Amino acid sequence: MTRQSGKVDIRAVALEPITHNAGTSGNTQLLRVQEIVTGDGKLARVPFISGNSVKHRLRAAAVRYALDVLEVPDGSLSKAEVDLIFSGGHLSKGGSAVDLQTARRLEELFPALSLCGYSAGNCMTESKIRVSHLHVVCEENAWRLPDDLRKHPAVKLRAGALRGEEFGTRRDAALSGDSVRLLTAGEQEKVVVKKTKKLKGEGDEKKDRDSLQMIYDFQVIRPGATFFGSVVYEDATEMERAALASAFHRASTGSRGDGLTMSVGGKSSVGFGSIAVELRGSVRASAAQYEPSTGVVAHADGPNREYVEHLRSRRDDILATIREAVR
Amino acid sequence: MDATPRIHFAELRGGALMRVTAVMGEPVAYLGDLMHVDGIVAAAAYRDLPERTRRRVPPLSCEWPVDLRIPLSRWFVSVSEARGRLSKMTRDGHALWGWCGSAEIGDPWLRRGKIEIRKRPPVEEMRRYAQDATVQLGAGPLKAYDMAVPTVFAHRISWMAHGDAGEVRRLLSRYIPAIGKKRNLGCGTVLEWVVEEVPGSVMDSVVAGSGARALPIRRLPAECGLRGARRRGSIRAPYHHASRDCDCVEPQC
Repeated sequence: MTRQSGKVDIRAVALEPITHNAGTSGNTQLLRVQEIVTGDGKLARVPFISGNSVKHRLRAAAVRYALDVLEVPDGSLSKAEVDLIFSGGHLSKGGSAVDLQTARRLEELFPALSLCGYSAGNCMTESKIRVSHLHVVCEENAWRLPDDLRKHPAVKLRAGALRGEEFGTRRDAALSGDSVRLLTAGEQEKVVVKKTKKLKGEGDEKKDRDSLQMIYDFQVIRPGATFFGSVVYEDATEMERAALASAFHRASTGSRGDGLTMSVGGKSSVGFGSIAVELRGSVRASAAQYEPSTGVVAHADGPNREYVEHLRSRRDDILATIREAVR
Repeated sequence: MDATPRIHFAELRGGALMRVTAVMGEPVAYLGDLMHVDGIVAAAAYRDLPERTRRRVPPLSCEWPVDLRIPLSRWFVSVSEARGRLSKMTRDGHALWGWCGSAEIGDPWLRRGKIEIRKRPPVEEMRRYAQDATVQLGAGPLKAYDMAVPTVFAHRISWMAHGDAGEVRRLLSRYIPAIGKKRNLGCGTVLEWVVEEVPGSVMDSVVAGSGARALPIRRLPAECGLRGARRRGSIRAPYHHASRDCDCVEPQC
């Protein structure tokens, strides 16, 4: 079992507006921001995509890929098992005697789990990947830009220039012509009265509150914004590195040139959050020096065959060990 | 109180006083309750062990974690009586000891904030893969949460230490890409470790000033004879482990 440390540098460009929000102001959902102090001592608030959200996407993608290969039938796991593999589980026992054997077996059999870390029984197993926040290239972030982005044109932009605002509307289906005919006679009558009163300007504001029609707006990071970040992995086995590659593979929504497209943030089901991603894999040579490597970068033809073969050939052992871990 | 420090040292052969600086890229998820550099070096030293050795080291959840060998000098403070658990923390039953590394120097924090860590229960996946009729999200182990973790922000954090500067530089650069909590989620990223030898004695790695003005720059046993904030706390790595607790003095904020 050869272990390796390394990292995957992430460079991404937003293809669509990105929503990654925290809190509201009035009716507007605000972008999640990080408060920093810039090199000249000024306070700045820069939007970012949290490492927690990116890591969860990778974990879910790695697990989904493995479950697909294992052909796990629907309705065959317990809640605790689903929680363990998709969310990292929870501590459920006391005592100080830690079951190292199960942890070793999980690392060997189901690398997607040991890669992302988990809690089971009375023990927390640390994640082997460290997913950084995805930061935008902008003037406020200039002090922490990677070397290859220091001369990027977007360094001249203030973070505020990368923020935009979008809106969505939701119509009241009960008021539209097509769906009114589906209502009961009594309900149709109410709609007619309501519309008539509205036309005459006699609408009762209080009663109209049962209308579901609304407009909502939210801040976004504008398309074209460039992001940087990384996934650092420590002491990952060959199968864990393959699991990481499978995560990138499964999380991608398509390919674009040599890179992938993925989605981040919210509202991806209505067209937001698409990014073009370039992944640069490298292994740690010495100290903080890295050498290029394609080992963990997802390719169009998918993760390596050995990983798939490993999952298929030890299917029953894998499922039994997951069951054992949450018992 | 007598302000002359009652501290003795076992200097590492060829050791020198050094300033260790972390050039930070992200806020650190940390309460601000002293981050000692020897704790960080100890974490790196553990990762530097061969895999077979690491498998033999008892886990940190055990009653008495082992003290790893790290490339720093050691300090000793004599105590009048060390019985029970405290005696295990001493060299020979009479002197509590720790590594010559300070807590962060001064107050480097430019800004305090918080980061929210959310856990969304995998309800969709449970619907598909489990057969249970309900899942309780409001309480219990599957509860959805939004946890705010305090953070502090600084461009540079510095520590003083005494020992092998080259080895400390190698360990930190090789194994410590981030410090504080929630490192795996992007917090506390260190862009660069700078370790430079500076003139001074081993005493300067644990105490600032001299004579009546001497003040601790790290947590030391209360018997050290220095003025400082008195509390109960850990004096050497692993700092979060209760086995390293004793009555202490520490730098006053």
